[in-house]
Amino acid sequence: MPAPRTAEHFADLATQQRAARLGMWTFLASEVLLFAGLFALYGAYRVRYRDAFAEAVRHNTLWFGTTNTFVLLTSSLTVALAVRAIRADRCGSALVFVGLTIVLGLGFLGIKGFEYADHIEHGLLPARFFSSDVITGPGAIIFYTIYWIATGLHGVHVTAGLCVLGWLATRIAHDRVDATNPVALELGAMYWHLVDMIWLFLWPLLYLTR
Amino acid sequence: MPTDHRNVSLTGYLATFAALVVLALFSLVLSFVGLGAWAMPIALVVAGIKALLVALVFMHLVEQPSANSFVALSALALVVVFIGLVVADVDTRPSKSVSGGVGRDSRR
Amino acid sequence: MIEVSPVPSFLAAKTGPRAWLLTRDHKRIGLMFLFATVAFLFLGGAFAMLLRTELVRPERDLFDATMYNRLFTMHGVVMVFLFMIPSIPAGFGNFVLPIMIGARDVAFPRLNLASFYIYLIGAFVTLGSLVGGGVDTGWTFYTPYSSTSPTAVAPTAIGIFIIGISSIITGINFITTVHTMRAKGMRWHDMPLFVWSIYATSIIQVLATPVLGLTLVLVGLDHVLGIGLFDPRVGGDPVLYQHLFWFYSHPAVYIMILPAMGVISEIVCTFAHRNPASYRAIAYSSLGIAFVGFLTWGHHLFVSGMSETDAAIFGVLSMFVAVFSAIKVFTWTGTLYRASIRLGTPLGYLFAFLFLFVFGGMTGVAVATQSLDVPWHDTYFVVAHFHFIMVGGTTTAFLAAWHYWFPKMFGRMYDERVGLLTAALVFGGFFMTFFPQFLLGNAGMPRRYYSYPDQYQALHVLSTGGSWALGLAMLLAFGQLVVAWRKGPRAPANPWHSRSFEWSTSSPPPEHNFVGPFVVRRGAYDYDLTQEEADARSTDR
Repeated sequence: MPAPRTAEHFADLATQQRAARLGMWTFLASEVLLFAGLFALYGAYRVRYRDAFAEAVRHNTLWFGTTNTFVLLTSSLTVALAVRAIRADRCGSALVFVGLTIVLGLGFLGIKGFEYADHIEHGLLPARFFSSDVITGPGAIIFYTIYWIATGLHGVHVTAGLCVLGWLATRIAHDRVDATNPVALELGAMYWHLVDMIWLFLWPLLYLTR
Repeated sequence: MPTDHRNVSLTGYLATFAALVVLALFSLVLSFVGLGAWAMPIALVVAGIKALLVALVFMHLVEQPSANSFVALSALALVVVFIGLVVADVDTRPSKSVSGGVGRDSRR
Repeated sequence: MIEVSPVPSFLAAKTGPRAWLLTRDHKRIGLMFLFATVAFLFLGGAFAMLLRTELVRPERDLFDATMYNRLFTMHGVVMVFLFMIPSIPAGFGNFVLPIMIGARDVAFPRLNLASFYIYLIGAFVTLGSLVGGGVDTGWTFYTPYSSTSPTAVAPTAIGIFIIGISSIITGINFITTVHTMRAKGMRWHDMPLFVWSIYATSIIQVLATPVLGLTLVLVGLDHVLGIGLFDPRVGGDPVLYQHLFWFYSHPAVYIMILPAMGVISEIVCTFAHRNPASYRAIAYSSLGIAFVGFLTWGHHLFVSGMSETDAAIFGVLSMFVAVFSAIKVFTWTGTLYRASIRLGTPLGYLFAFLFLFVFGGMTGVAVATQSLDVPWHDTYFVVAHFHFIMVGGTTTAFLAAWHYWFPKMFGRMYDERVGLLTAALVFGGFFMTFFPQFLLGNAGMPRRYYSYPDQYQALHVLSTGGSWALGLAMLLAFGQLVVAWRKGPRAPANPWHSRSFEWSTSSPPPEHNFVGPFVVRRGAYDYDLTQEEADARSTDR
């Protein structure tokens, strides 16, 4: 396992790693603000269409959404354990945990895919594509427009996270990420946790508040 | 092996996970109870606690320099202000129609 | 004090196109940003000149109203996103900030290079939409018109989105750099004030820009797919668009002014040859502006249909920002008062800045007053206000920075008489362009209007004349810098006898900024020390 090289502009390795983590937190802050606008729109329209939104939530696919919540929570655990393993120099375990996280992430996307198909079947589509006659009215349409955009944007981030984790898995397998150089995995895990945290707020707003 | 941090123990991770699962189940159960206007704030508070656990334990915020916490808190505070003032706009308009604030009866 | 560096300057080390196009040197990246932003400044300026020339008469002179709408939109888009936002932070910030804190580079040099290319790609996508006829919605893209306008809304939105990514990266880089890469011995309160202002700017860039990104995505989706989130015909609320848009765009104006204020702080202390009247006042007011600046966006929505409650809240909060700006102005003035002031072109721009910024700032407080804003909203009064700040403030400071750091960047001096003359011409041209616009707006002339009743013509003619003068002055100002670059006399390491740390290295600096590790045992403004004592306490040997 090659020792990590401190980049020449950093004072030492510890500073470099500290910078990496701070940089990542700052990036995550920007990602949080990216979703904030959607939450603001949700909040504003919920006030305007209180009953319609509640009814739209009632018609949403609660069990798909709830299963996905537990899938993501578990994946947060597995990726956290991956980081723990890499810090303890158990690269094999780390690889397994990263693999599990990827599987769970793919599971999330798969469940989401089934869920979207279900929505399409019931005409619960965004904007002018909406064609349900079970629930009607501008509030319902706006709810599902926000639903599709928010979960779609979240899904894009899940996909990006999976790509990052996949790349990290190859890096671990090639001994380029290990106990002496764990930071890349820490950063990837941080991104994954963010993806989980956003879902933790989407889930109640889109599925629970009936 | 460079460790500028204390490591969270395995028990710590598992306990946090258990707490997350319990809180999620709690939210789920609550959603079937008619809480009226309290449903939304309670759901958000529970979600917030879960997010806090993920951030502090899984993301090791407890072990890291305070600058990182400051970044996270700033983002959160700003989100609250943003959502708060936007919702307050719609909530305090005289009519809940599309727009009904200043100049709604402009006969100047 | 390094007069002649024993190692080659950053300009001489590693030459050839690849050495520049693939550089990780923050100084080269900074220069590339500077050249690009100046080019876009002139492009946006050309659009403005066309607009102003058309406005000489109420009748059609050069083009029709549709073209006019596209021109003022592209003027705004190019000026705000391709010039103002990146110019001082990504240009001068990149060049100067690491040196100011005694670092060898920024925290993430490769990301820094990526931010430049992302910016360039975004700029070309945005300009590419020009080929498709541009956009006619105004740079503010208000719904519902932006959803239905038959112009290239989506490509322009995509281009700006891409530029926003670059802005976020720049912010992440600078925040991390300031936290982790200060030289040994440099505490936060030893840093030059420009660093504080860039740090505050970076916070805004990181937290506000993503909201713009989302908003542009929603606009694009609406334009292409008709998602109707802001369409009243399907129950949507166009005012919500304005909330989302201005949540970024108001803090954006602080992205534009904070770095300019940082430049001014540096020039004030250097040219007064004095410590700032209160270092903490300027440092903390930068953070104050960044913080409060996030809380005021609703003052753009006073007449939109927003609730009275929100209008009241935003009105009050908007007043607080002025307090921090005033703190700065008083501190700068206090620093200059009874100081032994050195003359020079940066000082000329400094005085222009002080006058125009205060003027523009006070009119900002005026339009932030809801009752006063009702008649002034969407008139030339507002246009004059923000041009006083953005041109009279930021662009003046941009020019000041060009002259102030020119010797450091290129190792040459410009001609002071020509510099001062062009500064005076810029100021005069600017004032003649925009002061009449306050009068126009107060008299009721609406903004973005292609034509007008005859009684407004005199002021329009005056303003257009001023714009020609300003355009010429800008060309001269940059032209003489080009001449100086080729033919100016060699500049010493510290021509201004400044105590700030970028002057502790040679002009131009070596590739890694310093010869050895940089260690400081003083603050950035120890003018109480002699030059020798100061040099002894900030060494790179």
